[in-house]
Parts: sequence; structure tokens; C-alpha cells
Amino acid sequence: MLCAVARPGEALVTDLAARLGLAIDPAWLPAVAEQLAGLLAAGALVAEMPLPDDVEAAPVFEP
Amino acid sequence: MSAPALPAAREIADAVRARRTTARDVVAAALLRIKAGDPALNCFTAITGERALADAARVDRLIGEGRDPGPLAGVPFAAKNLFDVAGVVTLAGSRINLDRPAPARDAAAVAALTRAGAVLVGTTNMEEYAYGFTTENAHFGATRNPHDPARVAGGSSGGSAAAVAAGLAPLALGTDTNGSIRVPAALCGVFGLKPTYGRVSRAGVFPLAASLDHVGPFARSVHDLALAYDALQGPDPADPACSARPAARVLPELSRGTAGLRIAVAGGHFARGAAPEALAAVERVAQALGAGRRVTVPEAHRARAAAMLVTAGEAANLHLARLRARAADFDPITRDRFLAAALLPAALYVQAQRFRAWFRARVRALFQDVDVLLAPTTPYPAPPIGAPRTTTVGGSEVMTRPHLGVFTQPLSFIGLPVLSVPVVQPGALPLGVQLVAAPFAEAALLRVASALEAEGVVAAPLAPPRAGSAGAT
Repeated sequence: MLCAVARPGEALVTDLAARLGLAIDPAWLPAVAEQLAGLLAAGALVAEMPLPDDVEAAPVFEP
Repeated sequence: MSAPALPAAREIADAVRARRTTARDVVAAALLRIKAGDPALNCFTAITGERALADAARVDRLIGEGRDPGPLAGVPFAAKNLFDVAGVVTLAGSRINLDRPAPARDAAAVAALTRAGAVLVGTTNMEEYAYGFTTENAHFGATRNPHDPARVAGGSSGGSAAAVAAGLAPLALGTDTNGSIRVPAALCGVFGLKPTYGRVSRAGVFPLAASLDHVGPFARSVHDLALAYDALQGPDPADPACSARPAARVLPELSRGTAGLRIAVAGGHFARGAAPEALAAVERVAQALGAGRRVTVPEAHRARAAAMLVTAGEAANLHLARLRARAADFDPITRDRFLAAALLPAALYVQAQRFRAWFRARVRALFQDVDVLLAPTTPYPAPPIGAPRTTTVGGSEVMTRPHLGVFTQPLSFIGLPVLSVPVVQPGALPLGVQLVAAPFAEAALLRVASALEAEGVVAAPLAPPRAGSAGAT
């Protein structure tokens, strides 16, 4: 199960979205805020586990 | 549905190659079968009849000239509508993509099956932009489960899985980022293979999250799955993530049995949060294989969470311009997911990518003394179309749709090859079990699946015919 994270306020969601050029219809806000809470809960679960500083991501990039 | 079901891919190819029938007759029968059966299920978004008949004629011509038409000669197949098909707009389940020009050439996987003699008969329905597990699509309607049309087919490759389950095509192509081949395979009761990350080219496939996107086949038998996989696998410089490792055919391996394979059941995360019947399906397979050992995949619950973050970060970036310009044109279900994903802090995305490297190292170590792991594919059978947001399973309330991926996400997160096998349970809704191996060890999965099939533990019986129209859902 994911950690419980409080749903972000709709004003915060609107403001953050606007700074990205995203206009969120007020009717969509509750669902978007709920989805964001779910992602932040997933983020909290991943971030709470300390990783050694030398663990790097493994993207496919061959210069 | 009055048109007869098609034989297995293997039987079709054998009959066409031996001139007992023609590819044209097979394809004509397939088109009739689709016409009769698809209205009740809504698997297809386009039927490529003209192309199919032309491709079938080419196969017949090659045979007439004494040339090899390929191992899939005359076998009809369907492709999820995020694969490029020359002359057909690549919808990726969206209304927005209707404004795009049709591609000039086929995706690599479609071209590979066509080179092997298979014949594309149509493109199939999916979740918008592949972001979900049910194929409830607001633009094109829900795909219905052939075993119970009131239920979802699973997703996001639901149209492909349902088409195979209903006998509308012996083979189909899907994609899997978090479970989108394995979940619908399990819920529709067919075989679905998500190969190792980088084993099958994704060139010409509309992406979701490039770090996690895979291509793979659906079939109703292990032999057919192996035929399709062998035609698909191998290097492709057009896909930057495609491995340079040479193809390793699995078909010759099927008869080797399970001798020498160390098989264990995944415990911990994979034994919680599921309905009793989903866990019982794993026990049934374990018993048939004599697999008594339990192993724990460390931090699998965190791997699932990290898979959600990587998917969100990459998918939101991919669609950012479309979200800015046309948010109202998205399917409401996926729009909310994409908009929220666009607000994900970068530090969390990078943490998830770093955790991925850590998790890969731990699971590599686990596969030092295990060859095949068993785990449930989904935590429960297909939910009803339009099911409530939440459901209770294993004593906890979970999100009905996202929870379908609870057991698939930790495995695709690190690109492991996984085969979902349909467990025989007469009278019950289909359920699947995941066979999981180390990277590039697909042959072990096919060997185990073949042994289970021979023992009658797994099988994909044809779903009963359905009448009527799926209607708008």
C-alpha cells in the first residue's frame, strides 16, 4: 500500500499548472488533485528509502 | 456469431504452406469472423480488409512460385492501434491523433510479422495513450471481455487480447509499460508475452514512457506465441533501446521440458492484496511444477511506486504540448492522470530512476539461484465495465483500476521477461499467472508454459460466441 499523502489544495494545483502553461478546468480539479496525491504518495514511498550517493539512473544514452 | 473460429496460427501456416488451403481463403474467413463477432465486443477500431487480401495474395503467389512465404504464412493478426500501419492513422486510443497524417510505413513489429508471412487484418482498441489497465475508452467505447461482456477486457492492449480470446485473430500485438500485455491476457484468458526490455523493436510505436515501453504478442497456445515471438525478436537500430544481442529462437526449446530449471514462488508483495482465487491460481501452477520454494523480491512494493513515477514523468513530458493546447480533447480518465503527472517534482522522478538501478542489482542477485519465478498476474478477475473507483480485496480498500497492475508493475519496471499464462478454471472468470525470468531468458518461460500446457494446467479455450452490439460505453 502507498503512504497516505494529503490531497494538495486546488489553488496550489491551479497555480502550479498555470506556471507550466496548463489551464485546468475547475470541474477537473478534484480528480487532478486526487491523482497528484497518489503520485506524491508513491514519491514519498520511494524517497523514504535512502540510496547510496553513487547509485545512478540507467538511461539509454550512447554519445 | 455464425462465422467459424479460426484454427491456431500453427495449423493455418502448416495448411497454407502445404497448399491444403490458400492465404486468401484464410483471410477471407478471418474478415467474416471479425465482421460477425466484433460488434458485440468492440475489439477493432479499423479493419484493414483491402490490405489483408493483397498481403494474402502475395503469400499465395510466393507459394505458387515455389518460394518460402515464412513461418506464419497466411496467419491473420491484429495490432493495437498505437502501432504504425501504412495508410492508417495511428490513433493510440485518442481523438487528438485523428488530426495526424497516416504513417507511410509499418511499425517494425508489424513489418516483422508481415515478413514472416502473417497478414494484418485490423487495428485494435486501447486505453487512450496506453495510460490505464481496463480499455474503457471514452472516444471509441469499452472493449468487452469475451468471457463476460459486462466486464472489462483489461488494458491497455484490451482490443488485442479480446480479439485473440474470441477467435477473431489467432495472433495480436500489444505493448506493455506497466502490465498492458499481461493484465488483458490474464483477464481475457489468453497467453501474453512481455519480452525483455529491448528485445523487440518499438520503432513506429506511439510511446507512453520510453524507459518502460515494451512490445509483445498474444496467442491462444504456447507454440503460436513462440512462432510470433521468434518473428519479432532481434536488434533494430531504429529503436535506441533495442539490444544488439542476436535473436535466440525459442521454438526449438519448447520440447525441452522443465528439467534443470529452478522454479520458485514469489512471496511478500506478490502474496498480498489479492483475491483468494488469484493466489490459488499461483499455487495450482506451483504444484504442477513441483515448485515448493518461496522467495521474496526485495522492495517490490517500492518498485511498483517507482514505476508509477517514471511512467508519470515521461508520459506527462511526452504529452505536455497536447495538454496545453487540447486538454479538453483527452479522455477524461487519462486527462486527469496526465495533468497530475505534469506536476510531479523532478527530484521524485530521478529518485525513481536511481531506485530502478538499485532494484535491478538486487533482482539480478536473486536470479543467481532461481530460473523462473511465479506470481499472480492480476489481483482479481475482470471488474465490471464502469466499476466503482474502489474495491475491497485482502481486507484493504484499493483503487479498482490502478490496483490491476500491482503485481505486473514491479517486474516490467526492470525490464524482466514475463509470460502471463491462463490458468484453467472451468466455470470461473479467467485469471493469469506470471512466469518471470532473468533478462533474455525468454526460452525458460516458454519451456515452462509448454510443460504446463501439456499437463492441461494452462490453456486458452475459445470464448463463447456473443451476439449483438457493444454499443457506446
